[in-house]
Amino acid sequence: MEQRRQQIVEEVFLAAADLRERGGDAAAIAGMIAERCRGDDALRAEVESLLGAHEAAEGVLDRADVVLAATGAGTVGGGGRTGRPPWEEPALPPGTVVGGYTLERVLGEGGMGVVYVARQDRPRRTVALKVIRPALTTPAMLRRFEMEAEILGRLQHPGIAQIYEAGIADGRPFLAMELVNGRTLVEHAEHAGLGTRERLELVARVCDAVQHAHQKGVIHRDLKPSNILVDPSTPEPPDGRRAGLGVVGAPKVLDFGVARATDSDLQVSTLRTSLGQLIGTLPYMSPEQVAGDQNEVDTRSDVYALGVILYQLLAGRLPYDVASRSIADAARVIRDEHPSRLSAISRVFRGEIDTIVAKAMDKDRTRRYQSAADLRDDLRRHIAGEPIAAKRDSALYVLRTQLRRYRGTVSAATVFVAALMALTVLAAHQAMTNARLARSLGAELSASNIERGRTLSLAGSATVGENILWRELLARPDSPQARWGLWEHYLHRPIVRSIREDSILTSGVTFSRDRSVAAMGSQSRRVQIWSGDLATLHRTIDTGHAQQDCIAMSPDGSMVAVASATGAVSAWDPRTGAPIGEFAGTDRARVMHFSPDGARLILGCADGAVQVWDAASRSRVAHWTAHPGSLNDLAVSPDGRTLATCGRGPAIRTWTIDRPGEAGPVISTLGREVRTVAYSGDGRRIVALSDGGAIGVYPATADDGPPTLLDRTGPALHRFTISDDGKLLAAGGSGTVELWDMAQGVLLRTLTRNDGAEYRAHAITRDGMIITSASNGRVQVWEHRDALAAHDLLPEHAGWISAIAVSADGSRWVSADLAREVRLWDAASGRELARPEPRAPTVCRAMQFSLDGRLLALGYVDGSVEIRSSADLSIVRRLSMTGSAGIESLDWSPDGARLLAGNGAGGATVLDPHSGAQVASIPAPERPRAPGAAPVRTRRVAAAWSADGRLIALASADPTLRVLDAASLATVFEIEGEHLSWACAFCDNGGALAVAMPSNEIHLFDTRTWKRFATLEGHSKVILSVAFAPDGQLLASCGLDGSVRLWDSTRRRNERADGSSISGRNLATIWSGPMEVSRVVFSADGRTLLTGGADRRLIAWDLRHYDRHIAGNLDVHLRRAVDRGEVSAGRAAATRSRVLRHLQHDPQSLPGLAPDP
Amino acid sequence: MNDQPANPPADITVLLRLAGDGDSRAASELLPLVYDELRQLARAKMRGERAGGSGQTLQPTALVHEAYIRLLGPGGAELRWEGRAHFFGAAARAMRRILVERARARGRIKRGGGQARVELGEGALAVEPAGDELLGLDEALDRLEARDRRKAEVVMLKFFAGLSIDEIAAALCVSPATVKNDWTFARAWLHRELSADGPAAREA
Repeated sequence: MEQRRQQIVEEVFLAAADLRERGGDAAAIAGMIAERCRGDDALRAEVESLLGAHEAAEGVLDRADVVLAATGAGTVGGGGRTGRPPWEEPALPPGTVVGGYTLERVLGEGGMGVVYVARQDRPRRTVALKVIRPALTTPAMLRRFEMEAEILGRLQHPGIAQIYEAGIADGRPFLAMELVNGRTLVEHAEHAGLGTRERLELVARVCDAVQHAHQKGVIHRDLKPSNILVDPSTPEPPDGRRAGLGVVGAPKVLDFGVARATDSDLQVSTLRTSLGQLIGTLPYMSPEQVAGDQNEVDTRSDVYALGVILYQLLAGRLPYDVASRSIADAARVIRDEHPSRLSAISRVFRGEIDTIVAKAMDKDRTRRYQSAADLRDDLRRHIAGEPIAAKRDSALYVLRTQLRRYRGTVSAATVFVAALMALTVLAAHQAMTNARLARSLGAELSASNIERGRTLSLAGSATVGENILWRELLARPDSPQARWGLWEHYLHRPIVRSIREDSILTSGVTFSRDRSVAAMGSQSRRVQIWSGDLATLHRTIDTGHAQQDCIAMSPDGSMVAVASATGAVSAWDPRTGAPIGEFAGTDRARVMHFSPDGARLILGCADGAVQVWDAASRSRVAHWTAHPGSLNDLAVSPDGRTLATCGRGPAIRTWTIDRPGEAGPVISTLGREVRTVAYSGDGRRIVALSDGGAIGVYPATADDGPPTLLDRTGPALHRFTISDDGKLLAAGGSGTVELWDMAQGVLLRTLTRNDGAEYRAHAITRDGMIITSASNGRVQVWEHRDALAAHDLLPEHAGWISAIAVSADGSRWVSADLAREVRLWDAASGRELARPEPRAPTVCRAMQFSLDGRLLALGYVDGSVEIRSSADLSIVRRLSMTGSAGIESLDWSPDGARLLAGNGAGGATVLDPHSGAQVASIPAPERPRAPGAAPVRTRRVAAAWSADGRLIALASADPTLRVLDAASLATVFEIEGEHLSWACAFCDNGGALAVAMPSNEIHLFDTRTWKRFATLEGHSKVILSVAFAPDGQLLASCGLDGSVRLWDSTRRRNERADGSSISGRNLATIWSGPMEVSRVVFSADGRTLLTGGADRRLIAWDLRHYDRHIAGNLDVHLRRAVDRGEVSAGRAAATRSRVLRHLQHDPQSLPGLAPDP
Repeated sequence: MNDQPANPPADITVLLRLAGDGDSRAASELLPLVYDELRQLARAKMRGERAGGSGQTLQPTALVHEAYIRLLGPGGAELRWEGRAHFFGAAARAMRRILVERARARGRIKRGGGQARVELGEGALAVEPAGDELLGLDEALDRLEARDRRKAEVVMLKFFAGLSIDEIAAALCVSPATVKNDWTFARAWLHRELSADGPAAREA
């Protein structure tokens, strides 16, 4: 039936292709297809999609275009208009509502869909709505689309057309974007009659926008004048009138990263992009884009495009004439030929402008401007008549520029003397700044790459993302961003270890019964013998047979049998690597197992035969034909008495080993050809994987109950394995590994990599690790347990968690909830130590251990404070304060003599915890309120004492932040805000104060100068809690948006060379849930992070957990980097130990790393 | 004969003759032989190329033919077409594997920013696809094979061994028109596989 259908598809398709080739018009073709499909829509869709591919393929698979296929020149809409194949969905009529937007008219059409002008009611505005063709969507693509759209939504810059919303309506993904009316960049420059300096400033403004996106890890990849519009009605930017320039215009960049968001992979958009669009894009493509290596494209590719745009704006033509060339030829020109220099076109451009353009367009990206900001700065320096950085290394050049500036005011002689002196100083100074500048630019490039790697890891191709992150870590082994980026990657894809076999496919992994030894076969001649945890490679055996089909290890680990493609089965001793001998006369084996007692080797042969051999004497005991013509798999029951086989067709046959050839019960499965079979641990059930992806569990004997089918709808699976205890089933598929709970018949987890590789699951180890091989040649060990949380099974609280504290020595945790329970935990075991009854009188919102660890202070919403023993939570003292509003925060002075209690009225009290006396009171400051402004109802206060005891910080509703001298209570520093700030924290080792701001940013202040040195943005809602790690290097935050984030809190890495603040990097998001997280606290050693909130669970996150995964994947990536020349072979060992040192792993003590063979 | 893996390879002419006569074991022994030979040739070429500066190209089709001459010697001419068809079948398979290996091993080959160019015969691929692309093609070919073995065979002979339509027709014992149809269909099918998110995602 299926086959017949395929045949019809083929016939109709060929007829249509033929008709088209003979010049048949679109309507005729469509009619013919419709006629021959006879109303079968699925059939017609299939034919049409093939026909679409056929048309596109003509430009791809036959000709040179493949080189461009992976270049990332995704031209999606925005660009040229193309003829739409008649069988594709026509544009939607005006008035159609898509996701709340009413379409007005078509703006343009691109490869991926149609762009409309559309109206939105609330807020009332007109937008550009890009609607992606439903035919092009897949679930995986939709998922990525949503995630990437969210990232694009974060781009907020006046020079970038804003993405308002991304969504999916009726299966159609859409993007609502700012509608920009205006001319393209080149048209604008001509129309407005801009002079050279104005043109330079115009490009500098584009650089501003591009730089913003780069800092967020978004690369445009398709910058060209038609993607940059200038709306004449947009006012000049406020700083526009610099250096006496005329009106320049406010450019807006369109389609930022849209190519990526609307496409699963960049290749795709280019493959689909018609030739006409490609021609529009080609001239702006950098050599690395043309060369087609997706991994090589980074922010500097955009810099190249900016250089071309600059060239075009100044010269009035493109640097290369590519329109008249074939694509392959054009690509060669871009890679190899040098354009005529600007100065050759007009003498006006001699000198600096020529240099700037040439540097932006350098074929070697390491010699280009390293960032858009760098290019912009030089453009503006030139406009202002200052020396440009591109020529800074030339002292003579600097001198000449300086001279020009002062020409006319100083006599030549003075200049000469002054210049000689200046030159000496300048040279020294510049050598320094250049080095610093280079470092800082390098760091920025790296940070942008890491952001891109993280984005891809989460939303794109995990493999590409992982590779980018590794490249950055290996280039800078000390980079916390790269390390945490990988940490986040492995959090989502918990591969503990990767082993690369250098042949194409691993033919199997087999273990001794006690799992102490593993053998790995391959399609090369080699068999590798590993320790059972796949951590140590013991030896490699050269079997002499080029291709191995399968492999089996005897239960006692004394023999490994290897079947080669020639049909020979040889036996080897895994302990020594010595040959044992041949099983002479075997046929080509597809599957091989030892019997559980090790006495027999059982072969399932490709021709359908089963052979039973005596393992010791290597002589054949029995053989029979089980499935004439073809045998897919064979399984041995745990008691070693029965075999189950499958071959062509849906039946599983069973056999008794002692009665060769005598068929036992036949199990008929539901559905199609059975590919893989296995016995359950107790031998009572047979699990079968059929074509189409169904997994069935069948009774091994007739009286063992009904069969069950696992409820699965996913894509086809390749090979599965069952854990020894029979509870867990792991199955490999395309880019995924699925884990099933066999007892419940439910899917536990899908481990995805989206890398297109075909995964096969080989074994589940006793500690729950899953061993897979993939068609990309890697063997990987996956961690099954969701193991981030050290104690993820802490019993739930009865209510939202309202406060958490950790004792200074780290041994105790305490948590309180809205149900008025307070619970004390043992940090090491996660055991609950105490839960006092009766419950607290009211809700506790603030808790803090004293530094000596003996006492715990608790603050309640009724304004009372309790001091309890930290041993058993028994009450030591109750301090009730008069007239005080609820206690919102508590902090001990470092000497333990005072307690600072921030209250809900916006003030704070300093208490003596031993006598209960109120030592001082800090009233809420009186601020005149704007007339008509509503009074702030909750004036929550976050109070913190600095580690040296000298300062007190109070962050609250109006004003935002006050820092007081702890002794005199005099105000040291103050910022006024208009909204709430609910969290602040001092860094324990001094120097920094973190304050959560109403803008959902965290600001870091230097506590000596009170200058802000970092702005950390990432949270999308109010931040409820911030905490510094004990070493001051890390900051954790959580809030209403349900996420827990880690930040780099060091000053060094948050500041640019010139002292300005880079927008702070979110190192990793360790949790992102639907419910608010209200408290975050570090453990004393900084290794564990405690969080609690609306999901009522106190969670202890092990921040070191994924370091193990990073270390376990290091060697594979290091070897890859050496192969690619990114790390020199001589530096590999040093790089390796630097990475391990960064992870605080002692290379010697790390068994997880095999020596580089 | 399997006891001594160090044995020199069996006479390939004999193997091809046997394979041509329908001996399946001979056919399966061909692949490793041809593969090893092609790989050595490719390596030697690459080394020569590095030494000899840029501009040199690695051409799978030329390699396959060179391997053919080296392995078969003058005896090649006497071989019946069935035998030769087996050789090219094995060579295409081996070439595909080598390209895939290279793509995997190094991402892509780069020399001085240049582009590794690979001629794959008239009308076929003229430039070596990027690593990911080739791997995608490799996997898509596997799927095509599962769907329709002959079409996959056509693609391999055309792509990786550079045979013409007529040669493929002779090798597969079908008419040239059939090969052309197979090629048209397979090309569209593969293109669709490579363009979309893969068949797995479509099924989901």
